[in-house]
Amino acid sequence: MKAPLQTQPSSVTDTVALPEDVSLRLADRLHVHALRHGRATLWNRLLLGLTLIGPGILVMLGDNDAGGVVTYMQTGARYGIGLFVPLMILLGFVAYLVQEMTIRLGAVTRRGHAELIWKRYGPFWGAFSLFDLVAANVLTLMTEFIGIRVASAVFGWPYGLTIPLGALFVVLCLVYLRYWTWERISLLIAAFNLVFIPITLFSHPDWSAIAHSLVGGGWILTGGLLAPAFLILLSANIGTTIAPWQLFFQQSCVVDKGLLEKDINAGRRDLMIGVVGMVLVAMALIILSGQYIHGQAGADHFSIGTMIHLLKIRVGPWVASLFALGLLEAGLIASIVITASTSWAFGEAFDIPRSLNARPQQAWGFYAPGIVSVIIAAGVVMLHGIPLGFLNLTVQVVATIFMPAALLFLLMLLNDRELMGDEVNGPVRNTLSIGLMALLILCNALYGLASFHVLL
Amino acid sequence: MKELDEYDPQQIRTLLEQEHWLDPLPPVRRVPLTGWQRAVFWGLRIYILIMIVVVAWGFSRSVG
Repeated sequence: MKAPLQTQPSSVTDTVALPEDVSLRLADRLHVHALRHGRATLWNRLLLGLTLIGPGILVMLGDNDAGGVVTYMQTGARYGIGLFVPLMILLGFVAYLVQEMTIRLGAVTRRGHAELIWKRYGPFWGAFSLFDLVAANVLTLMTEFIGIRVASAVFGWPYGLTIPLGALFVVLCLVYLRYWTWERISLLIAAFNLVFIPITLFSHPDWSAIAHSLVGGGWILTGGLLAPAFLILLSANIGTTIAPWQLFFQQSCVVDKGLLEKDINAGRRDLMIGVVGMVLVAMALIILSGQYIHGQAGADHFSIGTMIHLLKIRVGPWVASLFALGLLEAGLIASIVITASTSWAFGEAFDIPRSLNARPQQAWGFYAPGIVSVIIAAGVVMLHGIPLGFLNLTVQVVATIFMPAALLFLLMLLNDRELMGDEVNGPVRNTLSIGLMALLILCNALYGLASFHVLL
Repeated sequence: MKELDEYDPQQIRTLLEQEHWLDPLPPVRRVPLTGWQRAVFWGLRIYILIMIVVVAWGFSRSVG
């Protein structure tokens, strides 16, 4: 819980009254300092590593959200164990390329993403980027609550109860936990995201097909590279790997955790762990679906509920239950991190207190946008008769079309020597990032055209 | 994890100085976007608008 506000000169500094968020962050930093400069035992090294993890793992496992789980399953159902399995490894590198930049930007400038855009390029462009983020976040939050609703149905729990409970949990975590506790609880929930790996391992995966797919086997694309279905799934998979909220979230998280330039390498290790987890989970889901759903009549259009039912029949009831729990967790952890990213972005843009360490009565303007976004998203998903499957697909598209603009702001800031000093981007990273932006626009445009073509 | 008051005051003062926790951050100077940057961003906004119209149209067709 958040500590009481210190209004008197602090006994620890004798002459200086520390703002509450600074005093809590300072306690976190002292813990890091003590471990870093203490005895170099294996235990201390391990504790230091565990203390410094957080933003990278949260952003990448939060990235495997409910919408992502559905997308990976749809991908496996349509294309089986083939091209998309190794493609996930490539997308892991893409995610690392993009997210690593936010670590440097946050650690060097000690400012959040929204704040930098707002102050560097003015409120006009700042408002544009904030609007993009909030619109994408509210829509993405809907997919998280869709995941919670679908998982509830598997257990026979009424979604009228589970969705409000999920929303309440997310809000309570945001408002009443200090950064450190919020991060640790979120990490515990995020760890459950890995449940999809043992589910697949214990489902007797076809190892020869998996190995074959890694060296070019089974890369059969019905309809070719320009088939609408392939383009849609390619865009959706890219969209689930990199999204605007991830840029804003990780940078704000780095700042609120108090990571500095000297922690950049630790931040990179944290991110790498998260990326490996993200890739393994994505591959596990595609393999599971590719082995047990692909090839079934009508598999291309199965809903996630139908897929879970098929897994129950073909693999066993335990798979369906664990899968539903994983889906519930995916929705919950993504809701937690996306809500935080909304609050952080508002706080940074309007230059108001913006730390999870701040007490609600002193930072209501920071917490309110996050809370409102959760209420809107949960409310929409509770509506009766809403087409959940297509809403999920639509949201994935909308979220991805905001990405190129967000990436361009990121690149401009990373090339700003006045802000970044020696930590500016090198030419290789810039070239790769610009190439990625062009690819994103191409994929999104083709996706739009494909959707248009299919719907006509 | 220990609370702040449980640490040695000298250790806290040292860290405050070393990591500049009480120093104000350097101001971020406003830099207007150049002509080509504005053009690219407006292009991206038009692209977003078109895509949203396409997606909204697709969604309404699906619901309908």
